[in-house]
Amino acid sequence: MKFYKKEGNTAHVIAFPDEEAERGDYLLIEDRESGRGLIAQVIDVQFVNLPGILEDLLRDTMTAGSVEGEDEDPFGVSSQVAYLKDARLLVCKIRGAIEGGRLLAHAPWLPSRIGSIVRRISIEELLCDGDPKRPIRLGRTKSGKGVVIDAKGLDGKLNIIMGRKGTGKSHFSKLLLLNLVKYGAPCLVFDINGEYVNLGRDWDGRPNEFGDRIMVLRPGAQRFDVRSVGLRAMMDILLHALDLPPTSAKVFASMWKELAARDALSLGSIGTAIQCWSCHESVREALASRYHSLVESGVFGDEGCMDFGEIAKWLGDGNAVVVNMRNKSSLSRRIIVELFLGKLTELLSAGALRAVFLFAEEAHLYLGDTYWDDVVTRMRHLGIFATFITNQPETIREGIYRQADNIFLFNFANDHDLEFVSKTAKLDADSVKLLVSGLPERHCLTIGEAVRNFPLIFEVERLSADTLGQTRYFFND
Amino acid sequence: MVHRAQDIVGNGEISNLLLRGPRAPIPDALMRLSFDSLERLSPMRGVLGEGLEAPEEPPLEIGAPTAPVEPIRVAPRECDSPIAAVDVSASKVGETREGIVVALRGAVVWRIGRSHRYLRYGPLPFHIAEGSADPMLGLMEAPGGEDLEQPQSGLIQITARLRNLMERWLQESICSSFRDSIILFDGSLTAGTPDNPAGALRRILEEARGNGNSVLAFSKATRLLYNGRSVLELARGADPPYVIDIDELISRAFPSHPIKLLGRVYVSRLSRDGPAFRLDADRGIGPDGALDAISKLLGSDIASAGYPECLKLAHILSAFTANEIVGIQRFLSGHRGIQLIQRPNLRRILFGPFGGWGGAA
Repeated sequence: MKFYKKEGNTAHVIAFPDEEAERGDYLLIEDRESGRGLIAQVIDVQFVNLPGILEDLLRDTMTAGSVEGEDEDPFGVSSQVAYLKDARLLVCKIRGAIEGGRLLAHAPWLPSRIGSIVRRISIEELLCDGDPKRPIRLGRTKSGKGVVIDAKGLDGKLNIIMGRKGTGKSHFSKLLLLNLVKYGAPCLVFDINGEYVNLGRDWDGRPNEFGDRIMVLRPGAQRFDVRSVGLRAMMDILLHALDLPPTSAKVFASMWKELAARDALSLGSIGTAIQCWSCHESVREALASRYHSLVESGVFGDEGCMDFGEIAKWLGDGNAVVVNMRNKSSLSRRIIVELFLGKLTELLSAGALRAVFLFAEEAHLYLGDTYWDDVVTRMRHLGIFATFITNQPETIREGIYRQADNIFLFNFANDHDLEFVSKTAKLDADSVKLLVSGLPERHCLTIGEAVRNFPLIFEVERLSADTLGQTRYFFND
Repeated sequence: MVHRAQDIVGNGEISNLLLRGPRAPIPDALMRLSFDSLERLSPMRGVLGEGLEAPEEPPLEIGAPTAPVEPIRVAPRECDSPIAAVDVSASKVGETREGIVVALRGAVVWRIGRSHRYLRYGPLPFHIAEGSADPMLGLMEAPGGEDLEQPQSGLIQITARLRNLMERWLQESICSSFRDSIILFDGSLTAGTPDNPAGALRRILEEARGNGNSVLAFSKATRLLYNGRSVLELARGADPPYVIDIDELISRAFPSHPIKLLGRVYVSRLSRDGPAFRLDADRGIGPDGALDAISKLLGSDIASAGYPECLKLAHILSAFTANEIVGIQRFLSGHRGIQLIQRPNLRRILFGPFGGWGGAA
C-alpha cells in the first residue's frame, strides 16, 4: 500500500488487489524515519482513477460478446494490466497518531509520502491498554479478532444503540446487560416487548448462569402497595405521567397525608377519599379520572403486593430487574416507568443503591418529552446510567446524542435516518454514512470511549441465552 | 454453401494454426531480442501518452490526371469468404540513459459467418539503445538484392522496423493459414524502404495468392496530392460506394526503384457516412480480382464510416491505452527489477516554482 495524499482529515491510500482492506479497517501510515505515524480508518474503497481506464473499459465493452479470442502474452504483462485496473483507492479518515510510542488524538504533522510504509493494524494494537480488569467480549472483527472492552468503559456512561429493525441492536443490548450482570452491576430494563424475560434461560430452556440473577416483573401480575410507593413517586406519576394540574395535585397531597396520618393509606381508601374530600368539583373530577387510570393500570394494589425494598435489595446485590411492559397501554407504560424512575431516584438519593444501569428500549414510547434531560443529567449524577435502544433515531433529541459517551450503530439504509445519525453521532458525517450504510446484519459500528474513540466495526458476539427478541415472521422458511 | 475455408479450417483450428502452427506468429528471434534487450535495462523514466511517430514525410504531388477520373461503382456482394485483418501498435514506455523502452502488440481478427474472433500477441517490450541497434537491424530481412539506402539507426526508425517486422510476420501467418479469404492490412502495399523492405511484402502477397486469398490494404491517411489537394478528395460528388483507380497516376509519380508499388492503388469511399480511404489491392490479383474482393468485403464486413470491422477491431485490440503503459512499467519494475524514476523537469530546475507545470515552451 502507498500513501497517496492527505486533505484535511482525509487520507488517500493506494492498494493493489492482493492488499486487502475493507471499510472499517485501520491502517498505520508509518514514517519510520521520524518515528511517528498516522492512524487512519478506511471509510470507503474506490477504484484508482487510472489514466486511460475509460478507453480500456470501452474496449472491453466494445469487444465483449461480439468478439472472442486468445492472448499470446509471453511476458504475462496483461496480468499486470488487469492487476492495475483493479487497484483501489482507500479513502481514510485520520483517527489519531502515534509518536514515540504514544497514542495521540491529533497529528499536526504530515508523514513522508515516499518514505512512509502503510500497513493494516489490528484492533488489539489500538485498544490494548493492558489486560482489562472486567473484560466484556462484544464480538469479533472480520479478521476474527475478538473485540473486548472493559466494563469500566460503560460505567457512568450514557450509551445509545441504534439501527433499523432486525439488525441486531436488541441482541447487543442484551449482551451488554448480561455482561454487566456478570460483574455484579445492578441493571434495570424497561422491556417494551417482553423480549428480555427469558435471559435467565438458554435456548434449550434450561436455566443458565443468569437464571437466579434476573428478576422479571410483570406489573399487573405483580402489584405495588401504594405505601411502599410513597407520596413523592406517586406525585411524579400524577404530574408527569397523568398530567394532573398542580392545583389538583396539591389536594391529592393533602388527602394522601391525611390518610397516612390515620394509617389508612391504601388504593381503596384513596378512591373513597376522592369521592368525599371537600374540594371543587373540577378538582374532584380531575382526581377521579387519574385515580381510575391508576387502578386500570393494574400496577397498584392493597394486598399481596411487592415492596420496593425487595427490588432495591435485589438490585443492590448486583442483579437485574426486567420490567415487562408487553401488552401494556401507552398510559400504563408511562405510569410504570414513572414509578420505577421515581423510586430509583429516591433509593439513589438516599444512598440505598450506588448506581443502576438502565436499559430503555424505544424510550420515546413511555418517556415524556420533559424527562429526557432529567434522565441524562440529573439522574445520571445520582447514578442512573442509561442505555437507549431505538430504531428511530429522530425520537432521541439531539442534545442527548451530544452527551452520549458511546454510540453503537447498526445498519441504517434510509438516507433520511443516515443523514440524521451523521449529524449526531460524534463522528464525521462521511464516516457515518459510508460505514453504517454498508453494515451487514449483526454488525455494529461503535463510537466512543468504550473503544478509546477509535470507531470500530465488528460482528456482535452470539449469546447462548434465550434472547427472544428476533423479528417475528409468519413465513418461517 | 459451405466455404472451403470453413470446411477445412474452423475458428478453433485457425487459432491453433496461428498460435501453434509450423510458423510461430512471433519469430523466436524477436522474442529473444526482447528478452536480451531487457537484460541490459538501466533505471528508467516512465513516460505516458507519448507516441512513436516517425518524422512526417513530405507530401508527394502526383500531378493532375490527364483524363477525368471516373468513380467505379462497387456493389456489395454477399459471400461466405472469411475475412481477416492484422494490425500492430507500438508505444513508448520509458526512457533510459541509453535509449528508450518500447512495447509492441499485434492483433489478428477474423470473421467467419457472423462471428469475429481474435488472437493477440504481446505486449513485447524492447529496450532500444543506441548501442544495441546492430542486432535489431540485423533482424530485418535482407532486402533481396535490392539496393536500398543505408539503413537509418535512429531509435524511432529501429522501433518502426521492429513494428514492421512483427506486422509482416503476422501478415505472413494469416496469409498462410487462411484459404480463399480476404486479408486486410493496415497501411499501404508500398514497400522498398529500409524500414519496410519490399522482399518481405512480396513474399507475403505471393503466399496469399497461393492460398487463394485477396489482400487489401487500407490507409486512413495519405501524403499523395494532386494539384495540391489530397487524392482522397477526388470525385467528391460521387455517390458511394465507389472506388477510383489512381494506380496509373501513382505509378507515374514514383520511381520504379527502390520503391515498389506492390498494390494497385485506389481511392475508396465505401459508405455515405464515412470518409474516403486509400485502398491498395494486391497487384497480383488484377483489377477484376480487386473489385471482386472489394465487393465481397462491402457485402460482409463494412461497418459504419466505411471501414472494415475486422481492421477496426484489430486496431482497437492492438492499441495501447495509458493504463496499459503503466501496467508494462509496473511489470518492468516488478519482474525485471527496473527502477522507475521521475523525469527531470528542466524548466523546474531552471526556474523553480516559476517553471510552470507543463513542458510547453
